[in-house]
Amino acid sequence: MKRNLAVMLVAVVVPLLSRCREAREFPAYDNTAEREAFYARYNRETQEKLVEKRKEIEARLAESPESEDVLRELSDLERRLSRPNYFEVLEETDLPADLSWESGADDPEIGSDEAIKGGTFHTYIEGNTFPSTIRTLGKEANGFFRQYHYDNVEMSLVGVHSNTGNLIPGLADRWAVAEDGQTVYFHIDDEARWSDGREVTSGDFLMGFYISLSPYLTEPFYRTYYGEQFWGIASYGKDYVCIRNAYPKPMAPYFAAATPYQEEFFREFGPDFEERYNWRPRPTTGPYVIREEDIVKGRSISITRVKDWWARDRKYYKNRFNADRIEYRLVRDEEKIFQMFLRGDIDFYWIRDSKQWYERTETEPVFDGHIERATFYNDYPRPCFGMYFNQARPPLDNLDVRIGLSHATNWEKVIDVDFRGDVERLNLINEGFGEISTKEVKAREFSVAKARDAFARAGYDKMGKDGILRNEAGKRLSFTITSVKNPMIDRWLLRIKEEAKKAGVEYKLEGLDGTAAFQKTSRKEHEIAYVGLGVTPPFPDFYQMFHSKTAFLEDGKTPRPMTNNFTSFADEEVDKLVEENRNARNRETIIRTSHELEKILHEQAVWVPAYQRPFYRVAYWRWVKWPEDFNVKISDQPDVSYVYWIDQAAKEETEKAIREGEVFPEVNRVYDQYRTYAGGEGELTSGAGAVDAIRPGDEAREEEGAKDE
Amino acid sequence: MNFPSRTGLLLILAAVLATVAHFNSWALPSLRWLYSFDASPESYLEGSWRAHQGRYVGIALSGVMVLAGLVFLGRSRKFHWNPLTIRKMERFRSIGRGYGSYVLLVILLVLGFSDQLIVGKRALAVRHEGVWRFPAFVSRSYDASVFGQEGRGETDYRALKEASAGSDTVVIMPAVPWDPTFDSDEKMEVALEMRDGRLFEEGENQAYNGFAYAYDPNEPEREIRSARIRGGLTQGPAEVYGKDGAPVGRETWDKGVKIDSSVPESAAVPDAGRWVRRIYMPLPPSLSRQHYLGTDSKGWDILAQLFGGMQVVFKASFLYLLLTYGFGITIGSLMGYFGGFFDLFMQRVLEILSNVPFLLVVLIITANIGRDNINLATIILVFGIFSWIGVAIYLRTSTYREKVRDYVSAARVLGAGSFQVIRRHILPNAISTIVTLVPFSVSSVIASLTALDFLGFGVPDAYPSWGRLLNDGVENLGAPWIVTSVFAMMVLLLLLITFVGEAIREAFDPKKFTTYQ
Repeated sequence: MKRNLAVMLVAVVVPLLSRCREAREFPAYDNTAEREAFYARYNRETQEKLVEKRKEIEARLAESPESEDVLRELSDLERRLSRPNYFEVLEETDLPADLSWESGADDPEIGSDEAIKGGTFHTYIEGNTFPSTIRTLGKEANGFFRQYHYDNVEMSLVGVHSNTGNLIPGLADRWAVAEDGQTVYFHIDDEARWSDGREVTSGDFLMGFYISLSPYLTEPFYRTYYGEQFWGIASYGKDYVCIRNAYPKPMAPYFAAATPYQEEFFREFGPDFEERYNWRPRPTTGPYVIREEDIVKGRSISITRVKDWWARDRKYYKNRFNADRIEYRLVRDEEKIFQMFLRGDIDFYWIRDSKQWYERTETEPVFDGHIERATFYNDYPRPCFGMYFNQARPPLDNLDVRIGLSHATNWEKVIDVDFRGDVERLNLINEGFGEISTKEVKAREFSVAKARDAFARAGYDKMGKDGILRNEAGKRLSFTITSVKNPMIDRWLLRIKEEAKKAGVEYKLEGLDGTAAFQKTSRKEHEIAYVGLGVTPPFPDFYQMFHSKTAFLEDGKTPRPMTNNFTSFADEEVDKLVEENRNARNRETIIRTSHELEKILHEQAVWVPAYQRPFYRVAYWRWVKWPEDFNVKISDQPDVSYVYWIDQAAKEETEKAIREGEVFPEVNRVYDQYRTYAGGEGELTSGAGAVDAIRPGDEAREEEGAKDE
Repeated sequence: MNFPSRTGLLLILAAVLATVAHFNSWALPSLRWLYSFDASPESYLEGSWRAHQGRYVGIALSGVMVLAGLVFLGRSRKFHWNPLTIRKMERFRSIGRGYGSYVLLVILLVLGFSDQLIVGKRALAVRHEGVWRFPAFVSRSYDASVFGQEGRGETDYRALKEASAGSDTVVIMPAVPWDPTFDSDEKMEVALEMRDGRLFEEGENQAYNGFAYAYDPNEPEREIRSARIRGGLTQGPAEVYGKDGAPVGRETWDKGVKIDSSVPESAAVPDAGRWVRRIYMPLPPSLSRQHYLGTDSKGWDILAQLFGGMQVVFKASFLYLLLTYGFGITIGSLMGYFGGFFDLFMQRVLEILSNVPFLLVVLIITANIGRDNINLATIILVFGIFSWIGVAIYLRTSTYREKVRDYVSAARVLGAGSFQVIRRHILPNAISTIVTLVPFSVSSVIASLTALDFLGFGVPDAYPSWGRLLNDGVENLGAPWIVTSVFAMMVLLLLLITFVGEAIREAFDPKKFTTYQ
């Protein structure tokens, strides 16, 4: 009895305590003065750094007065020194007069006119972990859930049209790029409002930069990104804001487009902000807001459509974001998600496995037309899944060995058997960038004969008793493949292993959990890594994977840890091309250098490309409606374009039909308007484009992408 | 010939055969195991003895076997069964269920020993161009060119057998022509019948529903279309393939009628076709492919894996018993016999060991060595480290009990040393409790090995494993043949062992009748 009492006491006290913690009162805080001081200090520090850098460059110039690179660096620095302040608060009258403003108003609408507003879209977040915060920055903020309430829905100054790839207005209704190709001026839409009714002003953008550069942020990523990628931000009165990119780039406004942080709300941003803002719903300029009562910890979290959203009648936004409410339920595993979908608890299911498509969704509700299926061919950069050879590990530094391994690796069979022929062989590191991706490079095919020839050239021509080739010195062709442990990947790699043995190669498989695999590969402790990076449009990035700076430390032989150069690839000639590609000021240069780089990387056999999926497939209950062309071209997830809508009438009709055993015709649609057929007769897609915006933190998301499949 | 002389001869014969086979590069069923304890390749320099560890271990094992055989032979003349033992054996034989299980187990063991005679992808014998070769029984592999097959690399004997029909090449394959691991089959294609314009599965009355693929009626190898079939008719979108097999466009069908097409005229794809349905792994049981119990989701034959798994289990049990009982009996009897400080100290050691979470240790070790570098011996060693405790505790108790008996005192008075007393007097009397435990240890090691593989931390994929098969079956409940086969096999083996165990316990029980009061 005594014990029971104790248990009861604890049971009562624990919830009380935890409630106390949640309701913790934070002391009042106002960072206005602190912010002003920070602006001044940051400006001063920036200036000092620039002056120092000039000295350094001049010293280098004295050494090699002819070097074009140094000269260019110097002229860039001079330009920056002519306007050295990072934070500037100016008046509207200070605006340059000769700006030519654009408004991006000529593109077609996105979504369907028939879309009906209203209803709840039931979907899921997979896994065991409930989001640990609804902050967008700070500790644990960049988790899997952030994209649903921030990256995919928050408005930034300009956006990219997800069908044409052109710039479209966002919070800015017009913008102008200065002569230098770096400085971008934005006029903030007069009607732009926060969800709490406040007007969006240039101060909100200054606040965003302040927060991102603030020492209170625990992770250094934002400080580095904002410090290196921008020369500064200036407000011209409350309606104009000017952001200066560090490099002139094509589509400069897109790279300069920042997201505002409301001055009023973030006035309390200080050293304790991670705790203070952990579960505090923020005002938003986007269509969806999180309400406090919609956070059901451990179970679900919902976002609600902003009443009288300021952009609800804007051309590119009026037919999107149709559901009144989107409910994300935490569901433990894939199987349970699927069962809940079949019961109608979840409206929409993204089919990622061939088996699900051919077998598991061949069920009654589909035959009866209650659940519909669709295949949509998109046009989005493909994640570069493949096996990367670490050239710092002999004999992988031998080109013939790498070529032999490429021929000994049978991805064709994996595609034919495990994917049931649905996906295609990947050929390039950066595939799916339209004309930036060359059509002339094809991955090496599986061929025992070619593999054996290549190995023989490298000296591996003796067959051991174990069926593995070896060289004169008795060294065997045995390599360890490091990958993320996952039933699907394990199955593919087992097949690769079995097939490779036919060519006299032994692959040892090392499946690690996600973090361990990522650690091992980014520390370059692997021999062969099976990974893939998710890439975001509009331009490829060869630098992080193939520049010698990302391969080795200054001594030129110790692999540099924590970079994405999985191949330890370092080549001076290639470095030049990579740099040209990265610093390109126009599209043509990017295309030319990308083509050349892909060819070199193929000739060097730096990796074995795996597969690419040119489409996505979904199953959804018939009350989820989609536009006539189903979805937008530049998208890698079906639901983040928000063009779907919930048809309440259809929902009632379907529910009645299920009760009464009525059936509808089975629906199974294919949308292949953006498909390119290998035969070359299909349309060549332009490929320039982007999803909503690149935001700081995307790099971290790429890492997740690597673990994704 | 009595029992020990037969055993002795058999041991010597086996050892000699294994050694001769090894030095002639033959691969004899099961005997090759003696010479298979190689260090992982390249872990030692060519000059080091460990580079040829397998050979030395093999010679050592053969030597031990020959020695044991000689000892048996030497003692055989004076040998006669202890009347008590004979009574125990008689009693064991009289317990029908236990004895029957024992006979079945022995049959399984003999089957297991037949190894590649029954299961394997290499042909037992091939006569090609008048020359007989025995690929399954040599340790090197024959290149495809030896038998006039296309391509490079090892001969595909199944294909050779298929191609040999009608020629004078003779290929004799094992009963199950598949290796237990890393020998996957291709997807299967089953022709659909066309009746009154509708597609049917062979022998079915219901029109076909599902996915189907069509081949060009004139060029049987050329795939032209993949589509969904409803009620035997093409329905909805269909993908169309060109001459080189790449997709060229899409058609839309409604109840068998083409209503729309984006296929260019130049592709020249006929509307009709020879339709098949495809069956992907796991393949169902099929006589024609010689998958008598089907395949798992990797395409590996299930019967072969069950067989290979059984061999692994037998080997594992053998090693495990040797290790656990060897160590446990030694330590246990020493503890019981000497008592005092040694006993106290060892008891603490046992307590510590028994509190170490066994599974966690295995996980840590596997994670550190890397799964592909682990072998059966490592796993069994880890098992052994934790499992001798039980044996030691049992033996300690019974040694304590026996130690104070008069005959032990008598032996000591007569001048017998500690070792002599333990070996000659205590052990034979204390061991009977232990013998009854053996079968249950075997079933527990089988279960733990399976469980470990099920969790994905056991032996590497090169070893056939029931645990992985079970895991695969649970993940693919739509393919019931996987989980039923492995489940039935496990239940059968564990049941047999348990029955034998119970019978042994009963036979060793000195009280034949028990009266409850």
